[in-house]
Parts: sequence; C-alpha cells; structure tokens
Amino acid sequence: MSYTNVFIIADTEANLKELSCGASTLGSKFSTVIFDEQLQSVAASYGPEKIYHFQAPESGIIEDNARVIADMVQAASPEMVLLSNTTRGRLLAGKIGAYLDTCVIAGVTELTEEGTKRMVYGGAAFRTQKATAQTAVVTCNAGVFEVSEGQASGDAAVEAGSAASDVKIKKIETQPKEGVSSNIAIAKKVVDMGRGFKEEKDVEMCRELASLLGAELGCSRPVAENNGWLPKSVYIGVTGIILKPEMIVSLCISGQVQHMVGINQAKKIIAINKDERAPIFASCDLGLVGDVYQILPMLIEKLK
Amino acid sequence: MDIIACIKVVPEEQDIVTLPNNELSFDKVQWKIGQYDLNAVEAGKQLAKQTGGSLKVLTIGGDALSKTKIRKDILSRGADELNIVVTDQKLDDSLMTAKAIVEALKEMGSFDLLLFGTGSSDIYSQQTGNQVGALLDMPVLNEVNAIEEGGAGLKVERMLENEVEVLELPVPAVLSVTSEINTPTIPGMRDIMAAGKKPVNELSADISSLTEYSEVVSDLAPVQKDRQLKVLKGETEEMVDALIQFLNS
Ligand SMILES: Cc1cc2nc3c(=O)[nH]c(=O)nc-3n(C[C@H](O)[C@H](O)[C@H](O)COP(=O)(O)OP(=O)(O)OC[C@H]3O[C@@H](n4cnc5c(N)ncnc54)[C@H](O)[C@@H]3O)c2cc1C
Repeated sequence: MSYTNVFIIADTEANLKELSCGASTLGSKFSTVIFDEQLQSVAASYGPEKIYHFQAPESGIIEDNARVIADMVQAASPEMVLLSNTTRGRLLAGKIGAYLDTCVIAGVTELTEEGTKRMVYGGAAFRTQKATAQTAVVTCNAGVFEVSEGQASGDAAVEAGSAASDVKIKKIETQPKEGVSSNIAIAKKVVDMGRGFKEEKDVEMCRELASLLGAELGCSRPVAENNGWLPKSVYIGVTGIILKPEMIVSLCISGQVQHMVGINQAKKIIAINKDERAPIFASCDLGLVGDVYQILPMLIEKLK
Repeated sequence: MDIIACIKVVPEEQDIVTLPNNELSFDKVQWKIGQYDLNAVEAGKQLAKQTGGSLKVLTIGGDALSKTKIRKDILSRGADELNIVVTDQKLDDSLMTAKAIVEALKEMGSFDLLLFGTGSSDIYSQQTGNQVGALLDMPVLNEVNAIEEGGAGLKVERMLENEVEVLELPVPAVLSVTSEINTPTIPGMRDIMAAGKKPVNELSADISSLTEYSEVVSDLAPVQKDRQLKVLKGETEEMVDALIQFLNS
C-alpha cells in the first residue's frame, strides 16, 4: 500500500524540512501544518497540497491546538499524520491520537510502506508494527528521512486554522538552554565521549578531535545526565538519539547494549578503551586498547 | 493534594534472552517497576508530603502483579495505597492502555494530579500520560522537570529540546515527569516493613472490550553488522598511526 494522503505537523523549521522530505517520498499528496507564519514559504517550497497555519493562544502553547487540528485532520481523513519525536511533537501526537481514537506509533526509526520500526525493551529488539486504524499518528526520530532543500514553486494555498480550544495552560516564560544546537542526528561523522573520562575539561579534547575530523560531538547517557558535561540532546542510545553515521569514534565507552543500539548502524566504529575486555571491542571495526590520555593527545597532534 | 501515580511493571531487560532466530524469550524474566516510573512515584511522594496530601499508585498488567513481592516493592516507595487491575489483555498500544487507566480511575475517587513517568522502560512510547489527559479532557503536559503548588493550581517547568518552559495550570491535571526531576529514594528497612501493612485494592475495571489500533508484526533482536574486529594493543604511536591510516582508507 502506498500512502495517498499524508499530513505533517511541524513545530520547528528543521522538523518542517525533514517531515516535508519524508512526506513527499511516502505519499502522493501531503498537507502541512505549521505554527509560525514565517515558515510558510519554506513549507510551500516542498510542494504540499495545502498549508494550514495554527497559532498558539496568547500566553498558551502550540499543543493547545490539538483538538482543532484533530477536527481538521478528521475531515481530510489522511492515512497518516507525521510529527517529529520531540517534546512538543509527542504531546501533539498523543492528544491528536486520542481525539481521533487511533494509535500513536512513537519514536520511529524506520518508516516504509510495510510499516514502522522502533526500538523496544531497552534496545533488545526492533519492533515492526502496522497501524490497523484508518489514520495512524506517527512520530519520527531525527534522521529517519534524508533532508534536501525544497524545489517547488511555492504557491500552495494557505489556510488559517481555527483558534485553539484547549486554553487551560498558561505560559509564564521560557528560558533558553545553553549550547544545545547540534547537527549530530544527521552528522556523517561522530565523536562519542564516554564516562571513562575524568574531568569536565576533557570535553575540550574530544571537541578538538571532532573538529579535526569534521565530526559532531555526542556522548553516552551518564556523561550528559550524571556529569552534565554535554547537553542531554546529544546523548546516544535507546533513550537518546539513534545514529546512522559513516563513522563513529567511541572514546571510553564500555559498550552497554543501551548505548550500542544508538551506534550499531554506523558504517565504521572505532573504539578506544583501556580495558581489553570491554564489550565494545566485540562490535567495532578498529579498536585500540590503551589509555585515552596517551592516545588522544598524540592523535590530535598528528592530525594537525 | 491528592495524587495518583500510574506505573507499569515491566520485564527486567537483562533477563530477556535472544533466541538463535533473533526472537526474544521472556521465559526467565523477573518483573520490576519501570525505571522511569520510579521518578513519578518519587515526585508524587514529595508533593504529597509538601501539600499534606496523599499518594495512591495505580498499575495495570498481567499475572506478575499477583505476586506479593512486587506489590510490597511498589508500596515501599512511598504510596499510601496500591490499586491494581490484573488482566490478560496485551497492552501494547498506548491508547488502549490509556483507556484502561481511565476505566480504572473511575473506581478510585477524585484526584488533583495524575503522574506518569516519561515512558515505560519496555515499550517507551511516551504517550500514555498524554492520551489519558486528552481522554479526561484535563490539562496535560509531558517532560515536566519541576512541580510546585502555585497560581491557580500548579506551576511547572517543562523541558523542550532547547528551552525550558515555565507554565501554570489548574488541577485536576495530568503530568508526565522527566527522568531527571528527582533521584528516587531507595526504600529502607522501615519502608519495606510498613509496605506490608498498606492496603492493596484489586479493581474490577472491565477492560476486556478494548481493542488495539495497531498490530505488532515482530519483535526481533537487531541484526549485528559484520565488523572488522581489528583490535590493537601495544605501542601508543603504532596504534595512533594505524588509526590514522584507517581514517584515511
Ligand atoms: C533503561 C535504561 C536506558 C538506558 N539508556 C541509555 C542510552 O540511551 N544511552 C546510553 O549511553 N546509556 C544508556 N543507559 C546506560 C547504560 O546501561 C550504560 O550505563 C552506559 O551506556 C555506560 O556509559 P559509558 O560506556 O560511557 O560508561 P561506562 O560503562 O562506565 O564505561 C566507561 C569505559 O571507559 C573506560 N575507561 C576508563 N578510563 C579510561 C582511560 N583512561 N582510557 C581509556 N578507557 C578508559 C573503561 O574501561 C570503561 O569501559 C541506559 C540504562 C538503562 C537501565
């Protein structure tokens, strides 16, 4: 079965581009929901049939639009509603799924005509799942679709959505988080920092290697969550991001399954660890057994 | 504030065995409280204490819930009361689970706040709380990283990918908390002793007519890529040179 009608709901410009590319490869026609008027021309450049613009209520959040979006989607009856697996994407998906009385398949790493794939049981398995309802709501992990710039002429009709009807939540303020912008989910090369490093300033060494290789810097969960050395948005693994880069260099990573599922799809894995018995050496292409504090400085020197 | 934390009892990942055909065997699994649900229970416990309220736990699942050990484990985490629905329905679809929870809640009386973890540690769709909130038509939020009483009800911090939102909402409300909102306390001897005396209610919620909205085709262990497995040790400089050669190849 090929999809004939897909809706995408995009909360940011990056998500808009990725979902538009996905929808145009999956469906013969698609429509786009945006929340920011300034994204209209980007949305139009991918050639959707229609663009719907919804607005967050004053001092509310865009998720307050879930009910009115669900009503609009119901009338159009698409086979699939696609969102990004972000905090907002998930809440929108859950509410819309409940209003439409349909399934939400969340955190999908692969989406084909046959169905969806996502990770379950802490990385022990990939689940292949198929929607049996008329409209499936699906949230995609970053990197599922290849992103390219839109080429369409950009004259899609724009329709203003009805005003949000859920208005119980009041936004007081937003505070920026620091230093979180990263392209790691779609990077070709990645440096992967593990818990074996001793100090926060070692992040600099890893960053230097990354910049010499033209790579993005990511880490294991304890480095982000326990040490707080890197933002949580760049930790790799079953509950973080799942990567498919050309190459990953894993430093001081032991190789626990919850982390490995995030890097196993890399074409090449290079591992540096001082413990010869570290499980990562059983699933790498090149492994160096040694002290990272000796190997890494020399590697950086030589690459310069 | 009267709080209900909804939790899931899940198979211990380490006991799941991969069979030669890549299917999974659950024959030897022990059952435990979902890792992220511990944060929901802890948040509920703290908030109930601060506000002089109560914390109940609701869980729905299979036979594993009949065991005294898991019941005591749940109750030792700070709940005043445990409510259980034992069912042989497979709850693989989050909307089906959400509907079952709504059904069970009807037997539990009123509440001010429903809490969920960020996701169940087995299926991890991160959707059940969102869907329960929508079904109950209550204000609902995910990824909540701080909760206090304030404004017309609650004041919360919510983690987005690159910012933190500060929001106010009235109660009753439904919140899913992050795994960083707190560090769950490990129950002490006294908590475990007290757990045995707390009430456990088996609810009669009839959820047999609920149907799934999606079909699980297969659960298969990830296929391992063939790796070169070239592992070097010895002189640092030789290893570094080999690495650089590998990078350039
Ligand atoms: C439900 C659940 C979900 C999880 N999700 C994730 C997830 O998404 N992502 C994730 O990463 N983890 C996740 N985890 C945690 C995971 O199980 C591991 O604890 C974690 O991946 C370990 O990270 P690490 O390899 O960096 O650290 P460690 O396991 O502590 O390994 C550190 C390594 O560094 C090496 N080392 C130390 N010093 C040096 C040195 N000087 N030179 C060279 N090598 C050195 C050591 O030999 C060791 O092998 C999850 C756990 C659970 C229970």
